Amino acid sequence: MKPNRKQPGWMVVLSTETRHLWLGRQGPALLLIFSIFLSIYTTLLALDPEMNVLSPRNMTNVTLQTTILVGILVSLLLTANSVSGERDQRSLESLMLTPLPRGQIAVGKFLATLSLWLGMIPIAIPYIVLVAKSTGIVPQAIMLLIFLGSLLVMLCAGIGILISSFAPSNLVSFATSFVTILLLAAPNQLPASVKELPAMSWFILLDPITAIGKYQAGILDGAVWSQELGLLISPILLFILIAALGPAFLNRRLSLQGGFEQ
Amino acid sequence: MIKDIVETDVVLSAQGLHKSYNNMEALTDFSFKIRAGEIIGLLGPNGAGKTTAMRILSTIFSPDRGDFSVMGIPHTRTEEIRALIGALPESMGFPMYMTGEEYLTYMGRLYGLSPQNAEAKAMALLTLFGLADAADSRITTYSRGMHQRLGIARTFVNDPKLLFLDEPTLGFDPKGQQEMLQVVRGAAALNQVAVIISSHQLEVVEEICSQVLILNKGHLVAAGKVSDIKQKIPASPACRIEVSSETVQKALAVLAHMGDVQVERNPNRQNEILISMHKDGTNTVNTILQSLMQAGVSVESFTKESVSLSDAFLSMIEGAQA
Repeated sequence: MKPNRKQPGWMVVLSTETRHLWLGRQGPALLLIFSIFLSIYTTLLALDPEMNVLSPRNMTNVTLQTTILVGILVSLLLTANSVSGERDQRSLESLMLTPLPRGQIAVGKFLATLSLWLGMIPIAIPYIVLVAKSTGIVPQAIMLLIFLGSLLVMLCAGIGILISSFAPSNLVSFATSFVTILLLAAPNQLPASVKELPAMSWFILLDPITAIGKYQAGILDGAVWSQELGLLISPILLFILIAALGPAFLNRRLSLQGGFEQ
Repeated sequence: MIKDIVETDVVLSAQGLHKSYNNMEALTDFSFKIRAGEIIGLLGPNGAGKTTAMRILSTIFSPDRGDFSVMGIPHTRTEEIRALIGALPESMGFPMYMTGEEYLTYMGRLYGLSPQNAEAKAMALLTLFGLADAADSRITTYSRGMHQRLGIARTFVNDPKLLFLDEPTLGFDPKGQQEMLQVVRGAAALNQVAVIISSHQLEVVEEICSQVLILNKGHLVAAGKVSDIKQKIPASPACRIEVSSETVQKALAVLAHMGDVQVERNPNRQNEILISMHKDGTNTVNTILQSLMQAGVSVESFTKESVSLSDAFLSMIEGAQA
């Protein structure tokens, strides 16, 4: 039998994984939970005046940040399980025995998990519109959700798949992924007064979640898109680094037991 | 020139493979060749290095030193080698959410088959391995034996030139075991597939393999044809007789007076006697039987004991440990 690869191997992994994500009920269930969460969240935030102590612009910013954070967490949940899950159920070896470069296995799985984010965006838009309708920043908020939200989700999913590829078990993969994301997201939750400290400026520039959070807050506060573009350098560079080097690195170093192959 | 002609049917050639984990040698200076259509048994106690050897040769691990080639392709070109081999890892797992057909189709697609060809191949293999009725059932509903059948079916997805089967008969009933061995024999004989089987079930290895490699603590301690390996054991000739219950005592008395024989009575079957003859003694099976019959012992059955692969294996492992 002569392989007649008209479709790249990663696309075979992507189509198989995507089909099972959506037809296997996991994807629809996660989207349902996501929409219920957003319903409760925006109801409490926007419609209950007693709960609402934020200005509409701030509300929009907080809703957007929360939506993206949930998107990150859900994508991370899936990517953290993707390779180490195969390792735990002893099915990774079977994949590694195929002529597919190992990096392509990870790429296919990574892209499949992103399909869920593509489903989350249209669900989130009506809630953003609802919260931001009185502010005149609906287009900006939607653009931020689509572009910067997607950038962050892809970046964090990329980190998640790298961790999953080298974690010896699913438990280690989940724990490491969540700690990593918490560490990256935590500075963004600091009070504005702390974030404004001179010592924090480099830190904010280097931490992709905090940097995008600050850029997003600026845009929703009336800044133009070209203002503070420097804040986008670290997330974009980090994403390019993972996208460009990750597959090649995994081709050489993805191992059966986790860790790096010697 | 003659050498070149002979070497053309070599499917796998390994020279001086070494692998260690945390400074512990798992495999040391492992070399051998396998030719098209050959079935080789890879034997050894737990921790002997069998799985390590299989994983190196199937390109899952890289060797620390040494090299090997499959159909002339050097081990560094792993993707090309993987296109030529099929491997059943020990305790193989599956994506349980898939059906058997989906799984084999997926694997076929990863080997570059078109969706239609992959589906056709999957159904053909499911039929060959007796899983056609369960093709649409999720793998999670399969029994242990069905998992094993599916795992072996998966190794044939790419029409391999070289097969690695780690404990292939695990989970099979005797009938299933024979069916599986028949498929492997057929692949070797008809399609000239070279097969390497690792198993603790030595009777299976003895039945199906033309040659064996015996590993112990990472070292190759014996290699060759099964018959040659068995001949290396300095075993005394022995036979097992069953006599009528009335003549058991008479038989024991006759045997006791014969020199150069050791007699052992089967504690579970009182009429059965195991007779071991001294290798250089004057008594043969014929003279023993003659003496018994002249003494009026009624011999009801007679079995000549032969050295099994299991005896040879144990002898070599114990010899290596001594």
